Amino acid sequence: MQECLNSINSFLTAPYTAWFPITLIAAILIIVILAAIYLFAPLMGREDIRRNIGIMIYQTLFGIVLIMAFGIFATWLCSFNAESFLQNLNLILVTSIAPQNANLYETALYDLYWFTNYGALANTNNFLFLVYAVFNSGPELNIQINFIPGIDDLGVAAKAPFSVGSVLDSYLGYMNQAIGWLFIINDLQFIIISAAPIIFAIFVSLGLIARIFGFSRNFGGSLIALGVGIGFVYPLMVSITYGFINVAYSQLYNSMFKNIATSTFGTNIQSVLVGFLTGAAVVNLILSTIYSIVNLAGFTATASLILPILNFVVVNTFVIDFSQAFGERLDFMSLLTNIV
Amino acid sequence: MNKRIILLIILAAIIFARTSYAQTQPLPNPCYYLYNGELPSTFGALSNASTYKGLIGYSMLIILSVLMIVAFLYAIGIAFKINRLISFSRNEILENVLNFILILFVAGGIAGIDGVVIGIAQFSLSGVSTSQTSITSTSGLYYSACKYYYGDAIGEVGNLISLALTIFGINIASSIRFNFMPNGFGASLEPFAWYGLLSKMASSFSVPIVAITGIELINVYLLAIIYYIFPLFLYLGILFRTFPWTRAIGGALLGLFISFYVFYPALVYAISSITASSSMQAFAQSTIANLASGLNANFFTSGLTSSINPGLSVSSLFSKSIIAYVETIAAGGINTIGILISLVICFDLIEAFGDLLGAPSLAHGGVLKKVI
Repeated sequence: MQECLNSINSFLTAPYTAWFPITLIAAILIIVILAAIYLFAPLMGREDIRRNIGIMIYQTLFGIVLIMAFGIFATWLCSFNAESFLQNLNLILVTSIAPQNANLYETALYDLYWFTNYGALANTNNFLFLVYAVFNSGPELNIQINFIPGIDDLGVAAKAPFSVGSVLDSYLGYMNQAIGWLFIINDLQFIIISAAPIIFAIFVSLGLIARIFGFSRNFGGSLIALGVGIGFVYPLMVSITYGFINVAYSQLYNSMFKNIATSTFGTNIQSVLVGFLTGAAVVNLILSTIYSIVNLAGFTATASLILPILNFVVVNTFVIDFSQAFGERLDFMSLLTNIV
Repeated sequence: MNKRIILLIILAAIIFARTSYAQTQPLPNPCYYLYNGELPSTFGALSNASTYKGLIGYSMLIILSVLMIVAFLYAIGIAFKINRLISFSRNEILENVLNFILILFVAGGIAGIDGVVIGIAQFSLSGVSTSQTSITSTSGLYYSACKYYYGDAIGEVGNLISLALTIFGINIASSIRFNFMPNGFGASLEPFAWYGLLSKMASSFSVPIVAITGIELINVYLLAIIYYIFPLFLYLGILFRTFPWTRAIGGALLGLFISFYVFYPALVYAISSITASSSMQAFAQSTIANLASGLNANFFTSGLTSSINPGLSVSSLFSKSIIAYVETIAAGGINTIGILISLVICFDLIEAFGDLLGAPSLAHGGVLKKVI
């Protein structure tokens, strides 16, 4: 965890400090070249070029303003204490490994890391393995009654396994397969989040540079939209959605054990005694454990399936609308779908 | 000694008097925990969804702040006679007025949801006798929808357990073997071996039961995610709609909020109030029973009895088993179809709001197709 966060830290600072002056120098260089053309245009008798160059200088100056604006935004993004802000909204689960005063990327990474390695997905995976092991172990009925004592194979015999797995094997298999796929989907997000700062830095810087030139202005706008979408909106969505799920899960998890205890033993001495005398406690323990695990699996399946879809849809919506406002329309999800 | 016996008798009487308590098994109730327990108090500041006053308050605050900035820009434009700034500020003031009207529309819509849903429930009540409770607040709406689908999902898990027990019994019966081969020579007979076929057929019913349980449980927690997270889309949507560059995104977020936060639970509740009605259930049961008797007469008694097993008991066992599970699956299937219909309608609504609010990402985008 710490190593991962350290690498994020190094990603956060290095590209930003690198791209900012490079872009600025490129823009100033272009303005100098354009200014030279602007000065020499009357000497060649080309007033039309002079007019166009004037517009291009204005666009380049606007590009510099955008660079400054994104520079301020990037500085704020890297230094903003997202962890404290989200904690005020109870959108982060406070644990021993929770980062202190963390920025948006560290917070998103922590939320996702907790969900897959300690929270809902990890626990459901462990519980399902346990259930699979318990359900597949069980006694086997093996009866043989001989009509004449001492003579084998003359009578009645019956044989059947008493393990639940023998009956619901396909059901358990589906659940395990589903959890496996959900792990893949969520781990994919982990990779995107880890790469988000570098995507933000590279795509936005390239986009800003491209916006300076007239022929690549639309392309630049799309790159900026993609960079901001994956580099800012996506970690923001992950922090909010997975933060909420982690907090909600921890409360559900705690209430689950209370519920099993209440179902098994009741709420007073009388119910405890009655439960043990009638054997109802054992039945209630088994049933409430099954129902609680089903509940947990339902919660995990929803979180692991719906949250990535929701996050991707919101990011895609942002990228489409923002790219259209800044440059040319970019629908990266459709592009990816077509490629796949 | 006598006192001890009397005390023991009293104790035993008290214990047995409480037997009925011990037999009622309290199941986990996530719906209570999601909408009335610890969670609403934890995220109350985030959603304030039980009252809606918080939602409207926050939104108004955002619009007021942006209006102040725009008014300041307008004043600068007038003072320094910058025409472009004046026209920009005027446009933005108009856009913010539009946002204000939009919030009023959303607020009115939200306030009207309860009325609409209660109206639909009453309409259902007039035609069918539904067991659904009446709704007085939005959290109540979410809670009722959650309770209905959770109850059905848990019922399906119960069906799965009973199915497993049935298959256990069938497996034991099918393995019974009569041995007539003393000293390793002779014959053995398994007269119920064909039960194995029945067992395999019954096992295949676990797949739709699992699918129905999964979809219903996902709906339970999807409603909770919508209830707590989607109000953020309202705030962000209104905030984004105040700036020209991000206006389209704001419209898209508002479209997501209105479709899923406002319409989805109302649709799901309305459909569940119809499917939960006793007359609807009775209609479904009678339809299946009629189909089953036709199936029994046309296929099992004529085809199977002559071709597979001469005994009529085989065909009747097959048909009874299949009919019982088809009835079970059909009851849950109606609810699952209700969820899918609601989702499709909401995705269609998103596109309509995309058109209305000028969000190109949602308009004619086939959002559902993209998600799938």
